[in-house]
Amino acid sequence: MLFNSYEFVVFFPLVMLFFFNLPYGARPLFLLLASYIFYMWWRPEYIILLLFQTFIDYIAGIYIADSKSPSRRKLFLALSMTSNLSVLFFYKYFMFFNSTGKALFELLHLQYPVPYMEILLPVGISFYTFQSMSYTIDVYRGETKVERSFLIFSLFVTFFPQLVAGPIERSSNLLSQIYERQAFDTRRLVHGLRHILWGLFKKMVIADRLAVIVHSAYSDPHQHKGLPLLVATYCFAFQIYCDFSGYSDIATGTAQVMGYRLMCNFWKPYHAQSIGDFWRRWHISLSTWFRDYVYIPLGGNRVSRFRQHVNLFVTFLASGFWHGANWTFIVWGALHGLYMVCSLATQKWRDKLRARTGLERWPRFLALFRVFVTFHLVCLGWIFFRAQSLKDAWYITTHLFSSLDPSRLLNLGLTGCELGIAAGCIVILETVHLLEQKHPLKELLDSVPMWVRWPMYVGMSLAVLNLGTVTEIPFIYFQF
Amino acid sequence: MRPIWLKLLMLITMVAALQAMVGLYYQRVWVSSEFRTIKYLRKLYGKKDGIFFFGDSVLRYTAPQDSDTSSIPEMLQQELSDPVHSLDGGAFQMDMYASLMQTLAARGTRPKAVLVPINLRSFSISWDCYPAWQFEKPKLLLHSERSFLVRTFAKPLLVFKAIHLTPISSKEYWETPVLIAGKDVGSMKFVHDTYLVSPDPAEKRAWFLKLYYLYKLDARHRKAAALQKLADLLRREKIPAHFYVVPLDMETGQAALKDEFTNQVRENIGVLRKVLAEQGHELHDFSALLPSSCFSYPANVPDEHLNQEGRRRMAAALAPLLKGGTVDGP
Repeated sequence: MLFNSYEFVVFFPLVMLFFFNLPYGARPLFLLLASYIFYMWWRPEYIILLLFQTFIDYIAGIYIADSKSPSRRKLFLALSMTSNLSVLFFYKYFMFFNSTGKALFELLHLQYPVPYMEILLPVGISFYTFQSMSYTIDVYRGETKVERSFLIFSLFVTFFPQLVAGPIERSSNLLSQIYERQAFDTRRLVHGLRHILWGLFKKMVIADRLAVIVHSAYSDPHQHKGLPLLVATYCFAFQIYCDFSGYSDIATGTAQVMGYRLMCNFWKPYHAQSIGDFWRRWHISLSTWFRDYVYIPLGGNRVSRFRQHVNLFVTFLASGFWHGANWTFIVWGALHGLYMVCSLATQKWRDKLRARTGLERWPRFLALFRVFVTFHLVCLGWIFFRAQSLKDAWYITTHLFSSLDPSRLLNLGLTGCELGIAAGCIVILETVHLLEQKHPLKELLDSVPMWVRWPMYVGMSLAVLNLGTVTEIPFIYFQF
Repeated sequence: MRPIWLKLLMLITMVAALQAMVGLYYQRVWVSSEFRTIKYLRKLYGKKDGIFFFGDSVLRYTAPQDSDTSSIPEMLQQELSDPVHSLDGGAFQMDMYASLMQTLAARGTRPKAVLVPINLRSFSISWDCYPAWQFEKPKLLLHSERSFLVRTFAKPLLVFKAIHLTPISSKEYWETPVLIAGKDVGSMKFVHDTYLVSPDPAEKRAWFLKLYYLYKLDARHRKAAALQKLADLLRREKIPAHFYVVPLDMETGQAALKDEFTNQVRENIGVLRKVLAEQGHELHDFSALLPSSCFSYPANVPDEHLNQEGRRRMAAALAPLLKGGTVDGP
């Protein structure tokens, strides 16, 4: 079920109505059933995978916690990892490796023995697999208590607001909340609904509108050159941000109404002053996952400088691969790994340069300059992320400035008026971000009188109801 | 301090009230940019006279060599004293006619008679499932003409995907299995890529004819259901209606596919006749009214488009129906 569908508009109030009218003890079971319905709306048969992974990790968690022998603990952790990663590999990466293997065999003029198979990727598999895996790893490390109730554990894995596109929650945050007795709270309801409205606005009004431009340029980039490709790349930067952070906002708001606090997944990522800073603000639940379960176990920064660079690069490569079975994602991950390595390697040199040029005397200018550079490095990465092939990505990268004729922009599928709405919405978005720099938006909104707040709610509701696109544009991160 | 549910209710009411105004604005924009027929339709609201003539491109198509470019409704008008209002559009079919008539009826329009041509090709996959010919937006707009709620919430319903403007995607269309006389001959794409592009003109023509007319019509077909809905509406509204099967190039069909063609066409007409009979309507069969020389094919494959002579003879055949005389059948 999509958050921006009429089904969810009916589903969510119904869930709320029952949730707050049921006795506390019955709520987890009810939420679990609601979560299964939410997931099965897409393809009922794939619930089996979700149940399988839940069951394996539930059992593995108990055995890891109860085993005294370290080797047995390791064995059950390995069992959990293997089963999770096998399922993920088969559904997400089999086709990629199969086609790569076939191409390789053909290059060597050999007969390829594996038949072609088309496998439909279960929605949200990467998210719930990682969430479930983090639990068993945490139990193994002794960082979280084992969950002995299958019902509660299932709800932790399946909790519908964040099931299909995150945030990838940690057991230490979400599991304990499931035991809390959530009473109906008016303030929480208002804050949650605000979050949902803001998320819908970002997704439906901004992201889906920009998607038209991006799709037009990126589906056949060879038809364009120069300004359209440049603008489409900037548009994609905002599209993916609004799409994904919009989803996270709706998820957070939905959970908040019920009394659950999900982790913050985005924090003004395009205000980042370095690539490292960007990754502390972008898809935070995933980047911290990779930090805690890949980078640190590899040695993190407690190793030699060279090894640290390798660890960083490998972590980002893995992050790229997590996004999808395509060379474009791998190159995107590698590019960010390279940025990080270069950033670390040139740190001293850049510090010296700053001191010599006296840039430190203008901290605002310096901050702006760093934001500008970081944003453009990120945009370069987005080209590889969005392009359908490496060939397309290379073409776009090499043709960004080949023609700067603004009239070509009208060939991107949006009218001048639509382009104006898109630009206006980005201005609204960035204004909100700037306002958030001084005070959290929640506090800011609470402090303004009703006659300011209400027109804003009404205006945004009308924008969501009327400025959204008619064609179905699924959340980008659903494909992962 | 007001309770939260009351505040929410107030907020929803405000949004809904403003949405009603936005809905009106959208309707105006859509009407002006997307669906001009509705402007003409609005002129007919409340009329209690005239002949309403539904139809697809066959009504207006003119062959390159035609000296008289009058449409069938215009030719018919020459024979009748009542004004003939043509409600036609390229690829319009039964559910569009039903939607148009529902809107007219809801606006108090009671014509003297309605002419409903039934194009047999419109039941074929190539027409019925063709994504661009689903007319969801015009149908939604027509619905909004007769319902305040639809007018107000049409855009939100579209945005939240409660209504799909493209109920059939291109992919689905190309993957649709083609049944010729009940036998699966492959997907639409397969038929297109294998037979419809055949270098042999005779084979190509035969396959177009098979695709267009050799389906086995079922009374549960969605276009047959739309026909039934329209017939039911006209019966309930006591509006005299004349349903007729548009002429086909039977000679070419017979020459290419022998009796299989004629038999299948007859069988399908039988199904339609039964559907209409259940609603108390008669079906006039003009499928074999015209010889091959009366047809002109814009796409170079056999279909129902007529030249000047064909249109003239068609109008002549329809006139007696409206004058109450005997039908000039084949």
